[in-house]
Amino acid sequence: MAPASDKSNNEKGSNKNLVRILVIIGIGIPVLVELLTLFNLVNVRFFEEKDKAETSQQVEVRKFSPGDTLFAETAVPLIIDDLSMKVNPQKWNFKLTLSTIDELEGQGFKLRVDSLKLSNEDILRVSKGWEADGKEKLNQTLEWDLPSGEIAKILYTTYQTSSPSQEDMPKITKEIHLGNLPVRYTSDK
Amino acid sequence: MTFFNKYPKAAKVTKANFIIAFISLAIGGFFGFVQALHRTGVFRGIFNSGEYYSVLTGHGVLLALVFTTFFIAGLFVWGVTRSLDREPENMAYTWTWFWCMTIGLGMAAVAILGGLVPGSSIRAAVLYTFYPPLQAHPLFYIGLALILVGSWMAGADWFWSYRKWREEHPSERVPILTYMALFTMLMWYVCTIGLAIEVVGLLIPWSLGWVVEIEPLLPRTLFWFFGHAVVYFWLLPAYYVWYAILPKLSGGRLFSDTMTRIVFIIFLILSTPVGYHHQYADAGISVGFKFYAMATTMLLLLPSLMTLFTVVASMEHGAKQRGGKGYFSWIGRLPWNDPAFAGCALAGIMFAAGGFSGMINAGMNVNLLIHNTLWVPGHFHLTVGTAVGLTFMAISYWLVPQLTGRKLKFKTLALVQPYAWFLGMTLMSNAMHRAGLAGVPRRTAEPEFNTNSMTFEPIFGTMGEMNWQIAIGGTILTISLVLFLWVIVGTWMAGEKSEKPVDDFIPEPLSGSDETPAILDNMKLWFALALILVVLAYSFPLFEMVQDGIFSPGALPRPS
Repeated sequence: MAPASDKSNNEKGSNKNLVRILVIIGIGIPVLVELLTLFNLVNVRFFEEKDKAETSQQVEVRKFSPGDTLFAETAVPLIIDDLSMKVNPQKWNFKLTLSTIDELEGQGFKLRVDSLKLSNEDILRVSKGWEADGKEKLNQTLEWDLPSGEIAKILYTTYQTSSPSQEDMPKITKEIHLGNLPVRYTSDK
Repeated sequence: MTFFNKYPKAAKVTKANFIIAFISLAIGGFFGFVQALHRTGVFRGIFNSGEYYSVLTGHGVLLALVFTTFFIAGLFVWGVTRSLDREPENMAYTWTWFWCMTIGLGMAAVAILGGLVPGSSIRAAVLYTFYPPLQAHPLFYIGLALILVGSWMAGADWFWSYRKWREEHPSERVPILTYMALFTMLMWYVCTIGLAIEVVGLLIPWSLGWVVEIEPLLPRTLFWFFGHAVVYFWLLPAYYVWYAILPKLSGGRLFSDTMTRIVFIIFLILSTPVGYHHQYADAGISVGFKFYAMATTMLLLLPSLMTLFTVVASMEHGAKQRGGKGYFSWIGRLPWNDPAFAGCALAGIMFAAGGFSGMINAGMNVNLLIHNTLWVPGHFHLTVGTAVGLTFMAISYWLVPQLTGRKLKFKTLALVQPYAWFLGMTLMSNAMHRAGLAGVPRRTAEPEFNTNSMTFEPIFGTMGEMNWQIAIGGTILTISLVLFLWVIVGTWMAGEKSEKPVDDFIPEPLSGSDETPAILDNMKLWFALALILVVLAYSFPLFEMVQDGIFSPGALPRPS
């Protein structure tokens, strides 16, 4: 009988050790976490002075939203009419609608969006362009199908205007940082 | 002889309910794991942020509505059958309610999971509260209605058994296991009135296109008529386990039968009239009604404190039977090496923490500090996620052997599981509470998205550290869930067969039902009182909402 009772004692012993370890890790750590939380809350509330001037200087990058003007320094600025994402389980579609602010009076322009930077930092090298001249006020919509779950963050553009005498002005290369785009679900396919 | 041998028909129904419950737990738990990684930014490669809301709906519905309801149904079949010593009265009827609930679940699940299928026009990314303006496919609402009807039929089944038992035992006290089940169902009948009106009267017609416009205030109010009481529909079965079984697992006896019955009566009468405390931030409801709800909510602390006393007293009695002494050292004599005991005890400890954070939610002014923030899920993962969820998992280690006639397998894993759950939940919930205080929103796939010109400012620590704590806690919880499922499946399929797989004897309480006032068994009285309090809380506000038309509450009067 002795070996069976030894085995039983060993089992009880290892079970006791296991429970000890479980209590230390499974209960001890949670208690420690909660005590640290309480300590820190009390410490911050009663004993620490918050230094509000600590925030470091950051260079502000302007972010564009609908209603903003692109290429304001040129002869043919463009206004952003729409900047949005329309999504459904099949695709994520980014839409950019631009229009000229005033009627063109013989001027022309060439806009090329060479690529997009997405929220996952990837670059989508799908180029879209808009080229026009004439007399009227114009608008155009450019659309991209993005990888599922991604949102456009930066447009890499090239822009060139021309005068009524067809003289080309220098090309401008610009990164257009976008503000937070509204993401709307649509059941359209 | 165990339950499986004595009541084979009831055992089969209980097992069927548990199978559905555990499958829902597995899928819903996986979704929770995905969410913990996604919204913290730790890993966003499983679903995209648009699909997150279908995943979130699946997590909430499958765990908070399906896992709970089916487990409770199985638990109550076990408890009523055992305590009345009779199989269900009519198995065709019993299986009908089970299949009604299951078919409804299938429909709702198809609607939710359809949102993850490219090209599907069926979706239900409406979150577990599912009120307008979010709209789901009609399959979702019809499925929910079937689950509801099935649950009503289940309650009627237990009342039927009780009535038949009463005919044969005219002067006996209602056995405590049946008493608690019937009072839980009485509360369920009261609170689901609002849900039934909302789903059948408003949401199904709206989703079918019969009604074009709907004003959210009335459906929201009808949902929250149900929405607070439902947490007690989950909690009372956990109390059922803590009162009826935990004392026995501790080695002792229930301290007081009377206290148990009083607690369930208080929950019956107070659970529903408090619904406005979920609508403190809603326009269209006057502050007076919200104040009334706040007052009744504070009263609800009472039965939980009574439970704390009774359950701890019962555990102390058990510990002292096992040789424990002193004011506190008896705690070490409790069977912390028994997975069923450890899980129930840890669930109870965590419930106390959840109750304290709930008091912040209940206060009309302080609520505004944490409204719609991550604090709220932090709170309810302690209460429903642990007090209820962990109790259900733990007691399964004691029940499943009785239902299958097989001994528990993988006992070491079963023992590790509740401790892992406690650790994981503390880490996750602690960080969620702190993140909520920093203003991090709930129900958001990418909380940092709309923070163009602000950053969340935690009181101490950093956002990165809190996000990692949530992700690590969620991962530990997932491991714990896998352990639970492994043990249960292993036991069910391959546990050692035995005539007596577990000690299923439950001793009589220390202060028994012969000392309990008879009025506590007067179900009609307490049910009537519950209805009166609901009418007092809701009649006038609902009348104000509907008098201008039920689909446009609060609208200006239209010319007739």
